[in-house]
Amino acid sequence: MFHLAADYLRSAGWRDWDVLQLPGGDGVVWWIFRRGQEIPAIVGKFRRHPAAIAAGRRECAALELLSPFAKQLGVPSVLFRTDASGGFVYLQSGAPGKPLRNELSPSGGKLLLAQMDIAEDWLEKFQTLAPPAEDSGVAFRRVLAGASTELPEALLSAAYAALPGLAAVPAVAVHGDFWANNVLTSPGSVSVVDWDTFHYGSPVEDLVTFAVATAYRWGFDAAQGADVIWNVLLGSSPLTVRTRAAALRILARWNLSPDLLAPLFLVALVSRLGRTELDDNPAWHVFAARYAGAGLPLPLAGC
Amino acid sequence: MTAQEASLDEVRRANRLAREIGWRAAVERIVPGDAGLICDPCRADFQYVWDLPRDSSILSAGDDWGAVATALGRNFSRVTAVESAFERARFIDIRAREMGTPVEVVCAELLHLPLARRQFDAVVLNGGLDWSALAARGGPREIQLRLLRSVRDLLKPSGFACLSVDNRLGWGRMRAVGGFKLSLAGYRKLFHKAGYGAVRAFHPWDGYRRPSVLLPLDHAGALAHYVEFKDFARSGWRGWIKRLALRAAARTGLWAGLAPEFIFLLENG
Repeated sequence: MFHLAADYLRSAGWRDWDVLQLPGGDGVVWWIFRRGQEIPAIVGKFRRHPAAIAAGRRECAALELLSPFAKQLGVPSVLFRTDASGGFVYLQSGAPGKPLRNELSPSGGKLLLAQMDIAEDWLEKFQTLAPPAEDSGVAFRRVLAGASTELPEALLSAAYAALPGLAAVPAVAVHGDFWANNVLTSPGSVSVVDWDTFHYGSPVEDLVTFAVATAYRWGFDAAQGADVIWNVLLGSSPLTVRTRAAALRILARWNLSPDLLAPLFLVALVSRLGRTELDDNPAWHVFAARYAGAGLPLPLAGC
Repeated sequence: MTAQEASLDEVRRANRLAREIGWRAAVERIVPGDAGLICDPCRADFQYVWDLPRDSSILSAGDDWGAVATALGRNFSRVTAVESAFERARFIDIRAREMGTPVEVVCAELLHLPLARRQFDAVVLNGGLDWSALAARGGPREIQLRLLRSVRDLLKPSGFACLSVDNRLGWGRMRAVGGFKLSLAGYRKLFHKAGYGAVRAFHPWDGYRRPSVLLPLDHAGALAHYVEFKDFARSGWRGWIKRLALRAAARTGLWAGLAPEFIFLLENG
């Protein structure tokens, strides 16, 4: 499959390159370097299976939609895309920088707070530049319709019940997998990669995703992982307090009442669980059951 | 004998069963411990860095259950698998037919292939330099050279060989004996002497039996960039030390010399 990428490179005037291959999205990812350079100039993706191909197409569509703001947001540009026999190949511009750190203690620390600052600043720019969905009601209903069938019924019905109260809330652009590894920083720049779960939805979804993922411990079992999620979303750690403050600032920017934090959190949670977490991570199953069992307590109360 | 090399008797039983219940179920019943590896199509993931179109012709050797040949057959229109043991050749044939992949099986010794010259765009040798030296008479270096030259004969002028080999000096596997495995410099010399042109060396991070992660050893910056994305956080302080060590290994060139396994792409000189 790389010959398709190589043909593009030759047509763009490249004579030589080095490629580093990684598995990704049921296919492979290529980091393509110019000789002697430290950052991949181009990132290529080959997707094989129908679900992965659909995700690849979604990513291309998101990047094309965001292309007017690509520079300001540090979003890659689609350079080339083609259907190949046996899959879908696309190339995008490489992003400079190193990923932010994972598995930080929610009890605070300079690094944790600095990363939250980076995330909040970028989200503000993103939500300001990328226009919201034209019809937020449709967008929110689409989010809930895509919910996993494994979600506790109480959670899903509460989210549906909250919809009428969100009539005046914009369904904003959501990256959908906004965690430390997808946020690359270098002096003076922040880039965000992996856009295949882009959608419109709750203004606090990316923030909540980022906060939880930053503190999550991958070595933990499902129950311990659920403890971490609970601690971030419903505990009183400095990370929870910081996340609440950022969430309230997001609501204020959209002229929304702080009372909307709870229903918007519910929509965000259903979206997050439905899109990736319930497939990948048993800790979220445990958390979702616990949260529903506890009567859906107020999130990010921070006390 | 490697983890997935079964005895000929096991392969015979697998052949009988495969005709009744299918190749995959036969493998799962006869060699359950190795079934995951034998059935894994990712065994040929090195093909995704090849600059070759679909209508290319590929030769695969040293792939005793046919995992590599059949995975190549999904993406290339003409694949030939070479296997010296009749029972294994038969299994590959049954597997390829059942999967509907265009794999033609030739039962022959790699050093005496009954195939026309200059017909393949790529020749894959899985651990080929090791077992060829073990299987034939003569000094290991002489046999390795003969093998590499005979592979060159099979390649089109624009073709390349793809070799998966162990590093004699690889970290965690220093060997005091054994003339079959070489160091990176030793392999490069060997390839040069066999008449090959440009050589691209990759480190298959998870081993050459799972070649999905391929790191270009001639590009220090790429290796360093990979380290930044590798998540060592879950290993605690050990992960921190590992990250520092790998960063240093990338910058100094030690990584290239000490990678435990290599995958080489050798251009026909």
